[in-house]
Amino acid sequence: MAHAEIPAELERRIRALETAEGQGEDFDANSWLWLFILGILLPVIALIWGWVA
Amino acid sequence: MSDAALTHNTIEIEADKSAWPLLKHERNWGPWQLGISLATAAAATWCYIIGEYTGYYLGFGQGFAALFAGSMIGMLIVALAAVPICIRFGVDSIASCKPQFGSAGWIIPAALQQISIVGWNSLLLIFFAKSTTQLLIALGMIPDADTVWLVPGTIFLACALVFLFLLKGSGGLDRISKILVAHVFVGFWMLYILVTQRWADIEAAKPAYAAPDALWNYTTGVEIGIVSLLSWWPYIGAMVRMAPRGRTAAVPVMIGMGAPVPVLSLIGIAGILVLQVSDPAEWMRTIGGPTYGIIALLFVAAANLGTAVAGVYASAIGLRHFPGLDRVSWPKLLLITIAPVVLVGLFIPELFFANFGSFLAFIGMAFAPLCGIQIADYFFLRYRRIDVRAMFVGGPGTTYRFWSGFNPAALLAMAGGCGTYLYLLNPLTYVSHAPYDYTTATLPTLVVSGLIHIFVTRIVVKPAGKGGY
Repeated sequence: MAHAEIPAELERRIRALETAEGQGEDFDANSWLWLFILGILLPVIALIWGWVA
Repeated sequence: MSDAALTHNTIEIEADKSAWPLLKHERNWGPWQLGISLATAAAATWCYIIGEYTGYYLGFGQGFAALFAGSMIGMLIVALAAVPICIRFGVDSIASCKPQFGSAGWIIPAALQQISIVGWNSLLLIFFAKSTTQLLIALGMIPDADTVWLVPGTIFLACALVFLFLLKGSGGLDRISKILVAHVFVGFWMLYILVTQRWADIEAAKPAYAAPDALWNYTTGVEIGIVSLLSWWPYIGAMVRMAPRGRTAAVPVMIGMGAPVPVLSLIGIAGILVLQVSDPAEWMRTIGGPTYGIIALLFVAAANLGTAVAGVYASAIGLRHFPGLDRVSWPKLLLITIAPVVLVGLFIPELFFANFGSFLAFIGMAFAPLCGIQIADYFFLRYRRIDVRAMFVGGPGTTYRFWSGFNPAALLAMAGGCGTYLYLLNPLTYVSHAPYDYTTATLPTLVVSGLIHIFVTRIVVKPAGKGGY
């Protein structure tokens, strides 16, 4: 891949983020569970409740 | 402090005002800090306008159910689209869409971000200015004639405050969030006042523009909730990049940014159903006299200021990606970001208020395909592999260069998604076509754009060896 001229500080940051240790963490199993509960399960319950009520 | 430490600290502060990726140790927001900042950004007087539009079609209970469901679904969509990349690499929403749109094509989401944030901020500040004017007239403090200058003057003052708060970057956003989050509780108190004093009226009220088809009304309530929360796409990256772990961000994102909107929208639903006005500064005065009116106005001011601060910060970080604006001083960049809001607020305030429904539908039409493309690309095409260097270095031969910087898969998917939305729900007339009643317009748009992106990538982009798939 071509390397264009970039500021030294940006280069330092990119290098740090190219390693797995330098990156933040993606959603884990616990996050997916909460996303499912809050983003799918609760809305479905709310929709049924609202329609029936 | 030593010279080396001082230099290091200065670089960190400057990174906070740039679109450069943040390093792990610079991303120090915990779940509470993130949740509070997101809640402050989400809880604004747009909730009343969103509630007002829902109240046109649905009663109090059904309106809340539809709006809550739609909002949480919308929040989930945004969380899946932008958050994983932003949180892994400490980047904003615009950087997160470079792997899909290309090293030049990101300009499309960037333009959508600017339009969206300018639109919302204008709406908020105009709302605040109108509330101030109404209250001062009602209190007899100014004659009607003075409103010509008061509305623009108030908008200008609010913009000046936003500028001052943000001079120190995200630190200003964090500080203002901690103070202004109190307004969320004032909002609940106002809702309590309205519900306890006018419950019988709320229960008996009929929505003014309800269609004969109950299912259409209900689906439209859900649609309003989803598209309202898709508006958070431009905002969310600049804030979640301050948190380093998906594990601690998922709940703050869903609860902090997703839940306040439907809850505070109840104020707008109740207000429009009972008093035919969603502005709490006006109906609180009707119910409790001038004191309540002033409290409500302070609430409106705090709510809108917090959101405008978050919006302008996200917008400024987004502008940093544009060549030429990456090296402009932070105060200058803030002025460039705020200027369109001032112009809209001063010259065409009524246009925004009159066309809020169309603006919402535009958000759905623009951001649903964008989110569909991002989700499909990250989870089903790249399997979470991102080239962080290519997000910031975009010359010939780089991974996200595609064809002259544009990815045809994303462009076709955007076009297909917009077409799908337009077919399902006309943003200007709100005329809908099947299967809108059962699916909303946003969800099929999301799926269609995602599928087009996957299809074109597999038959054109990948075989051509482009995009780093």
